Amino acid sequence: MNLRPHITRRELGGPDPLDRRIGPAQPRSLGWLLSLVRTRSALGLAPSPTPAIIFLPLGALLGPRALGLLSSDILADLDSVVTVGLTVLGMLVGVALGRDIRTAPRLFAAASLESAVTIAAVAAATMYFVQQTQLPIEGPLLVAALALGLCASASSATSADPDSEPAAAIGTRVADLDDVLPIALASCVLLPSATAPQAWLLIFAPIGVGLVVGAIGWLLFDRADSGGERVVFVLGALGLAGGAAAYLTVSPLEVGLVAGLCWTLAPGRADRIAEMDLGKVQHPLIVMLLVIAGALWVPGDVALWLLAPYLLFRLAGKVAGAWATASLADARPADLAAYLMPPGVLAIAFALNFRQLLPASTGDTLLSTVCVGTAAFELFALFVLPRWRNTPRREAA
Amino acid sequence: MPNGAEERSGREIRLLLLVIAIAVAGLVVLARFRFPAADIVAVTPTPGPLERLAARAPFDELAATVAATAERLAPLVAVVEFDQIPPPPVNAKGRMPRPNPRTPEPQNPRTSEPQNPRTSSTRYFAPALRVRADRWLVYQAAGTRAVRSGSGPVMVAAEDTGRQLALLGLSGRTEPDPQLLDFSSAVHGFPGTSYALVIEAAPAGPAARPVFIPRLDPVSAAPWDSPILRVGGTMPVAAGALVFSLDGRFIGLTVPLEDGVAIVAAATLSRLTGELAGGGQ
Repeated sequence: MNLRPHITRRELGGPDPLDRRIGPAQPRSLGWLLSLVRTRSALGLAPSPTPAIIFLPLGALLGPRALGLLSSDILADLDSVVTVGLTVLGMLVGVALGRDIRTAPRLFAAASLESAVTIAAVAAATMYFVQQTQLPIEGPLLVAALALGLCASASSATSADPDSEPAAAIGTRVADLDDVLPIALASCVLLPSATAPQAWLLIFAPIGVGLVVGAIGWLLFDRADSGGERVVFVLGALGLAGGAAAYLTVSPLEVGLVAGLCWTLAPGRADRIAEMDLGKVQHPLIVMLLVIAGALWVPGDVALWLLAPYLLFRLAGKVAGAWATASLADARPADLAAYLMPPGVLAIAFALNFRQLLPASTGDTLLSTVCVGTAAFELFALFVLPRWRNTPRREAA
Repeated sequence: MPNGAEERSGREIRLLLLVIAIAVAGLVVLARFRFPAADIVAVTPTPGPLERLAARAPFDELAATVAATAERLAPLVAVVEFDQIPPPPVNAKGRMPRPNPRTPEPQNPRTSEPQNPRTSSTRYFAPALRVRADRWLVYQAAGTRAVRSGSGPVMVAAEDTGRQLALLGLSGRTEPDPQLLDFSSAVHGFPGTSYALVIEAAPAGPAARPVFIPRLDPVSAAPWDSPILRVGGTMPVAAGALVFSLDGRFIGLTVPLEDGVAIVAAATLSRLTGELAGGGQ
């Protein structure tokens, strides 16, 4: 069995220090399964050592509808932690984007096109479905449909080893880069229901706050006298970004993306410092986001009905997007589609973000739909897609 | 003969069209169904992340506490509508029959004063407290009777006309495993000089509000065989209101006094409920 016990490529800044010290793990009987579940990533992030299909049900089990260990009050208090977690994700994505956009602009264009196709497909299907079935959705339908489309557009790397074949490397990078467009549009989803001043705020506030935080970090990180002081600066920048985003009701993902992009594009080591310090909390933070999302899952008829356009047209949108961008990415459409199938943690992050921005019932419904849809696509990708990808090769052999 | 690349390309286009066709067909078929419930589920608005962290005014905290406790107590409380007992019919000589001195005059529970049944509105609402699975304890002003609760009729199971208490059966509230008032966890020896949660009745449902009780003095008053707690100072609460502590423990029921309002303690009500449920009066 070809095991891949030590995965370092997908982690920003190289392997964890602990990984280096311990060294590669020894093959075990469950090695195959673990090798699958340890490779979910997005834009260079290794979000968690285990995927959404484990932590979402765990969160639901701990949540107020099951064991009640995470009560509604605790979840409400954790909302600020969610905001900070989303900001960290946005910053890490921004740092990775700043590096990839200079080396692979063509792949970035392909990924953005693929993402736009999926957003359009899911949003249009959702609007049609809601209008036809008269699903009760609070707030403007266009806003809810766009939000669901943005959640659907996220992709993470697949269970395949990025080094195993050229298609895997390309597919993984496209899957990484296709998260940038939905993050950039996250605050703009509220534009259809916003007044003119609010619209300007939604467009420019995340950029402005991100630039300010980026400038502060750029000025401070490099000049810290000690490691402890540097961590305080990084956490302060993180708190400022998350707090400002929450205060202005804009997307913390977008604010973090702009700040991370600033640190990478600006001269100096701000990006590497932020990456190193944020990387220490990356895995626990993402596990926490998944558990909170699971705990916030509200089983309901509306969420169940919305699964129809989400599942059907995310699948169709990814396949169509892969077909449209395959020539740009120099990959086979079928391979590309296969690698784009798992939504990963960023779909959950988008849903948590929209839960903060949209009306309460719509946000809860959206999160519930995306949680179930993410688990379904992760299972689909885990068990079905590897065989499907291998079929043409066997035929060719 | 087409080469391998063209075969793959053709296969992928067929795959793409197949997936899109299945998605569109699936959506169109599913869209033919109508969502059964047209109502939006009421969800408590999520406060912003910073709202949880920001310092809050004490009154905001009091309001939040009252709202949370009232929501928790909602299954225990029902609103009952009362109306005046109609006057006896005019006799053949065209005179009203002489009033029976044993029958108390109708009272307005808000003022505790006898009211003229011909001139004043006698319809009022009072909160009833679920003390048994099928029994609700309520204050019933003299000369009035319970007529309905919500849209369902009311059955008077037992009443204590002297103390103006009644045990009712509400046909509209027959949940399989209802939440009951736990007298054992009630507040004993409530000292006053603090806020309490008062639940009154509004036509659309129970209305809860915080009320500061300045002082409580035990007094003996007929027909109560144990002291009741007279509220010192002006207390704008109607007779029949249910008084709870802010953490949701039962304190008592307000009843009228000649010079104000008193609270009948939970222990007394527990005993009277047992007597009413046991035999009635």
